[in-house]
Amino acid sequence: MPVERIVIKGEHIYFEVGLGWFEGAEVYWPFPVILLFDNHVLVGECWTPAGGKLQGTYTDPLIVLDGLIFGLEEIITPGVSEHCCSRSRELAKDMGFNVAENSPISYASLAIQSEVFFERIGDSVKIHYYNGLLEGTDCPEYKGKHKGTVEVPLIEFGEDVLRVFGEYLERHYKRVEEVRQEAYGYNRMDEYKLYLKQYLEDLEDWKTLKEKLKVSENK
Amino acid sequence: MVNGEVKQLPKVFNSEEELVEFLKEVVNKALKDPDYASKFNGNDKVILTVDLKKLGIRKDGIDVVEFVFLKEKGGNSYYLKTAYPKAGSAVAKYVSTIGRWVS
Repeated sequence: MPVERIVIKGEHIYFEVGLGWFEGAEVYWPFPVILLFDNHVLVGECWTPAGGKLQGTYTDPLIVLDGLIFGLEEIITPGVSEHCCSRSRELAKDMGFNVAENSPISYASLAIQSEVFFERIGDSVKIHYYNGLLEGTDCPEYKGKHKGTVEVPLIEFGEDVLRVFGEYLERHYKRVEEVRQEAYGYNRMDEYKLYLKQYLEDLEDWKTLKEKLKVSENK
Repeated sequence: MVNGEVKQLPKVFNSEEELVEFLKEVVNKALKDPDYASKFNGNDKVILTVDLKKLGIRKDGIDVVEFVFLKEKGGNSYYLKTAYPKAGSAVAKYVSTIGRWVS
């Protein structure tokens, strides 16, 4: 089965999905994904015996997408989606991240050992990440790079996530599901309309938020 | 409940049946918990991220399981679309290219 690659790039985000049937994959983590934020590797790994280059971690691209979307929604409307746990803040602290007391914060696990917290602080978003698979890397350039906090302006974060979301839906969703069906005997096409609906709602909410931010800037 | 063919099972389970039984147990317990049950608010899609400790379920190495439910067309009940372990020490990975387990 030939391998295709999907790449979506934003100002800070780099999202890559490999499509095909892979020996090391699992039915619920079918495709290798690389997710970067400004060169911080949220999802991805590197092993010298495998060539010493950054490679994707097997996961479901929809799990990664969900994580990004929940992060965005929590930032736009805190408390409404509250993905995973009311314990997100506690979890972040347990993992050694420096998080504020009342900031909107969302937690998602994007792949095996990939834990991400999206925290809104004023006009910025702090992305606290831990990539356990990168922790064990034997590639010298990635040693010590498995955990950190990236800060990006809120506006850019929102635009990036919506871009990945929109482009994935428009250009790649159906193709990914075709390959999933061929390789694993099932697909997630029945969720397409739901994602689309969600995307349009998030777009609206984002527009509203941007307006609010402009207004408060001009006060 | 498990979609398609399970090519590789996490080492926590000895068979597909065991995995299915486990998932059933988790879902049934979760639905009794108001925090989780309340997520079924009429939305077409519900993603339930279940913390096993919260439910008092012990499964070595798996801490969180995520379920994706979709609403039946024209009805009010949901069906399970997919489920996967999300976190835990046994959610390890056998990196076949270097021939060892990474956890």
